[in-house]
Amino acid sequence: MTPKANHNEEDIELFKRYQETKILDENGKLVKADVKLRNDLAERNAKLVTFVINKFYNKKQRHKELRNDLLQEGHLGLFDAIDGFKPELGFKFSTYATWWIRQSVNSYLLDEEPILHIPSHIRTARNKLFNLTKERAIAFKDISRDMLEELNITEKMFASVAAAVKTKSWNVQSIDEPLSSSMDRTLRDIIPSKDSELSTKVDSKRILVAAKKAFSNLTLREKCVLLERYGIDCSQILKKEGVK
Amino acid sequence: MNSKYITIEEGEDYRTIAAKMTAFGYKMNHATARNILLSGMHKFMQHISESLGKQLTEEECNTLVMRQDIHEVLGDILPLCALEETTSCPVVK
Repeated sequence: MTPKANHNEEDIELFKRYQETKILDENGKLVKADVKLRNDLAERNAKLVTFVINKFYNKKQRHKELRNDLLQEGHLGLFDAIDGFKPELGFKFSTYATWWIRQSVNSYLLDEEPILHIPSHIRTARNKLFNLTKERAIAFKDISRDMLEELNITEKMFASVAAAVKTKSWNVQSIDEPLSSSMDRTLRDIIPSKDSELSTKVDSKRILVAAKKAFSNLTLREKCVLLERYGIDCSQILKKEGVK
Repeated sequence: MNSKYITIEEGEDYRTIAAKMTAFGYKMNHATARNILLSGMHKFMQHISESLGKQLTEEECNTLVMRQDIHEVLGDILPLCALEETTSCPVVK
């Protein structure tokens, strides 16, 4: 059952009043409007956001986990809808706002997607191809040229889709992700820089070699205390030295 | 910058180190753990400076050992040293 949004005269009147308060620039972009009136309209139509989220984003586990975020994004979409709605065209606000809410939520979900972003046209083509493979019970690699022509997908596009499908099997890790839950260090911190000068590289190698030599000159007890101080387990060194 | 107390973000406190070392068979308390750490670092500094051709004095070493940034840098170097100690292949040739 769709929610009863803006069916009454009062709401249409509010939208008309809101339109009058809007000041647009030469490109038709909203510059100023009555915020109080907009908030009032948003409050009146808040249930529409819940309805859209419940209807379109209630199946996947990920959507359920992100429900609160989706509701917030949906409300942002609702604000856009309020700004753009033209009551004089005679359409219901819910018809217009639903698209804005879905657009806002979808763009949020795309941003939250895996690290390697797949463009929407590739995703659409991928979905078409997957549907085809399901229908005809064939593997992705068995898709022929004729089938591609049927779906209006070029070979170049097919190659892009195949590459996009391949990325799913990659173990992609963000460069800013901590290496482990207990460490603040990220992959970025340990990847060697290609830009460092040769002299810096030589110096750091010399220091490292000297440090290793210095470390080997310490007693086992000193080594262990130093390592433990920095949270490095020294049991392997002790094991190597024959200490139980 | 010199400071009486040096804290590092990741790692163990002296009491934990002392407890672990005692478990390994090196009986000690937290104060001993600290003394061993500082003397170990002192020795470490001297050996490094020798290898790099610049002999540090006792006083210079003592100053360096009490510096927060030196402790932080050691946190980057020591894992590599420990790695070579525990594995047969050298990390840097």
